[in-house]
Amino acid sequence: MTKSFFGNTVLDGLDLTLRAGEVHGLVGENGAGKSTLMKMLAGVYTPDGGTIVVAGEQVSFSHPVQAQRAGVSTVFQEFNLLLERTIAENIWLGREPRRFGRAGPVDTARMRRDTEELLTGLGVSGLKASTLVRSLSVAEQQIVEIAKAVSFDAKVIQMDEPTAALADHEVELLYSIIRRLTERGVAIVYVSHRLKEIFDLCQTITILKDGQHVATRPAAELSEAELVRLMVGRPLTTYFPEKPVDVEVGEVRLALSGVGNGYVDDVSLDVRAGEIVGLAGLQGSGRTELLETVFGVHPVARGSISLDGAPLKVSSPRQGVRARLAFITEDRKAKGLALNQSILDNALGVVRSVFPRRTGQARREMPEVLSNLDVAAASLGQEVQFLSGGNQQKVVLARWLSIDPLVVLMDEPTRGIDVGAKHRVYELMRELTRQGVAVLMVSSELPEVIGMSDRILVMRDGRLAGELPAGSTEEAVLAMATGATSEEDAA
Amino acid sequence: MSATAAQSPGQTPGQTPTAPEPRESVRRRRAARPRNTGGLSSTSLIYLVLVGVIAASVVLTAIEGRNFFSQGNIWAVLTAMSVLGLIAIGQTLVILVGSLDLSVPYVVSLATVIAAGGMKGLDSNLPAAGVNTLGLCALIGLVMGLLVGVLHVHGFIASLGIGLVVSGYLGTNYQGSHGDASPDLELLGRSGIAGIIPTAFIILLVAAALVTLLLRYTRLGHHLYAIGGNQDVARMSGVRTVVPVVAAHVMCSVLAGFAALLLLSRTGVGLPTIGSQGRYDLLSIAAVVLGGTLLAGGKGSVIGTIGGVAIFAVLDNVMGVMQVNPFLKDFVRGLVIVLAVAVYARRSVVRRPPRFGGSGPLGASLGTNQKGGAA
Repeated sequence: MTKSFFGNTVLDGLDLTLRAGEVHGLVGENGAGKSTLMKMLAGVYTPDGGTIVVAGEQVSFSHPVQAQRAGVSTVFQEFNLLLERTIAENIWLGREPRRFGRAGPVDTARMRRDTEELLTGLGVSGLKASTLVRSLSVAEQQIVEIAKAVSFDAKVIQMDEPTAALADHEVELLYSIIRRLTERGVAIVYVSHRLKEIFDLCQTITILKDGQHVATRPAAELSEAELVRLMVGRPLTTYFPEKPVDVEVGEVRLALSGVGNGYVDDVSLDVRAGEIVGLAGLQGSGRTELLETVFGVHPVARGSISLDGAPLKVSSPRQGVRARLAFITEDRKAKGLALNQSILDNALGVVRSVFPRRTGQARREMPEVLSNLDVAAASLGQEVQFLSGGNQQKVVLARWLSIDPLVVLMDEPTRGIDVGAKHRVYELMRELTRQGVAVLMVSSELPEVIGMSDRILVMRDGRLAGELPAGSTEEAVLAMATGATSEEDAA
Repeated sequence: MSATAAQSPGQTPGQTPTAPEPRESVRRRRAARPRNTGGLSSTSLIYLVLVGVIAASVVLTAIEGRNFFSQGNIWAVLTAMSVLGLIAIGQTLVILVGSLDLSVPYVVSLATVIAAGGMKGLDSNLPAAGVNTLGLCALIGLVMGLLVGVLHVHGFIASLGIGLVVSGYLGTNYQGSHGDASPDLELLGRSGIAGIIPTAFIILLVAAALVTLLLRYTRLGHHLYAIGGNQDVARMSGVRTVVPVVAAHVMCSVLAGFAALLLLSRTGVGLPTIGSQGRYDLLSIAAVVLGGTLLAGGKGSVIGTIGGVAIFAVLDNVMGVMQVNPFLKDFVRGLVIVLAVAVYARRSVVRRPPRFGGSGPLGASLGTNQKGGAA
């Protein structure tokens, strides 16, 4: 199968065979061609060459609905849901059942019944067909997407980074849904950057690199290190860069004492110069809100914050930036970047608005900063929406480096970016510590928290549940995050 | 999210959940999350405001020594609602699909002169003139719909342009009143039930009911919401995006044509500036937004729009009774629009309820059950 854009061959001569009831992992760095392959199977792009055969029948799609009718459904990373419509209206959109033949009214009762049947079939109850999608959590929205995929009698369901926005316990729910689907003989194409999931779920793994098919192997014959080597084409001896020996942890940079407001309560912590503190916890435990409070998004109602020993009073993000705090948000598309503006404008966005006199200097330095970060782009004038996730994140990082931050607050700094870009982000974090910057990092990826942090703080229900040393086990972090012993009374 | 946080150890670490467990987890999470952060739906809110406005009007009218609920006054309010109401229903359709129609006042003016010119004061000309007028309106809507749906000109610009074209045609070809309405039409303008409910208002209710059914029970209706909500999602789901956009614009212009006929039934002659004097473009958009429909499209209802129209009609009526000067009238209208939208904006911003009481507006009352807060 071949696909080229504007003369660039993005995908070349690829073969992929899916068996019923199989979970087939598709891995590769961003730009390797995974998305292109998925979109061709989904009917978003039309292949320039090659054939697609579903259940012995040769098919060709020029529209996503054709692919779905042929039995190939796709759950994209960005959901295709209407937030202001109900679950049932979303699932049956474009093929609403009608009473009395073609001219009749929409059969809302049947829509509701069929929806509830679908959800029950996935082992999910408690979601009502008449619930507005806006009021659902990300995990529940994903269930709706999967139910929609199943509703086409899918033989193949493709899932693109399905766990990117899920908390750990929600991932378990997804796993059980996937198992139910495979029991029915559905083949799953599973794309993820999280190698652990690939090994947890997949029987077969296909590795892509630069649009070329590298290998297809049974998961049992591959080790994680081997897989990474095949993906990047070079062995990564250590996934996380070693802690540099020449960095000394200095004085306390950022200190919180009894900080509380509507989202967090009684949080006391400190981050020293040259230190990386990881902030773990379940989704909704108040980690993001804590970073936002420090940065000035939410007011501090109780307690105090200090920076380098002096009291820090910020009541808006602007004041946070003035105090030279950097905040890398978890949702870079909504809160980190102006997608239809250029790389340069995005990278200069913060300095321009908060330290306008330094703009000239920052503009002169920016090309070097960006090339140091290995941003791959045609020019600095390119709109960031056309960059890969990894390159977008690097632009976000560049914009914050331009204020010479004292403290860097990172919220899911490697979400949805490829292995190479992840590695670059980790290296940058190490470089920052060498310059005496204090880093406070929120991450839902436990290996990342454990591999990068000097200390790990765990949050639960808006409060600090405790502190763990570097190199703690995932089990220890999870136990603290979930409050493993107090299960009954909290529920 | 405390409830889920606390029960998840049952599934972690490494333990494989059996089928019932995810079921449990979803159910508990649903129970833990507040259903509706705003409390009331927009529609009930708008009718609550309407009741408040009516109550205030009753008092203010009484101070002037008049009765708000007198036969004549109710007739006046309902008559005032009918024309703007029909136009606003059409505007609702266009806004729901993600477009906008600024041409309605000019379409209304054009429709009155064309209809009155065709009738020439004779009942025998009524059917033909009516059909011609509405057909012309449909044609104008069709052009706008094609501009928006096929050429992807934003509705704001497409309707502004068409509005200017129509306005220019009216300005060069008609000075002053034109034509003469047929007696039957004028009779319709005076007729009603028991001297309280004008026929025009019944026509409005029928139109509102029909359009509500259309939105709820036809594919076209569902697809209007889908396209306005997110055009890409609609297209990816196999919805043909051109037809609903065109249909919404055609219906909007035709409803403006009906509104023009109702106007003509009262004026008796076609007036080339009656639409722009009524400022039906901005007032209809304001009524739609006041009724809780998102200006960006994808969410809203005709019932809400009728509520918005009623608020404007009652306000106008009481200000008329009090002989408020025209500047203050506009001031009050403007204030109502801005306040209403500010309230809606605020309601849609509060998505992540505070966990610990005190800081947020909802904190004190919802403090404990908010603990499950949205992930």
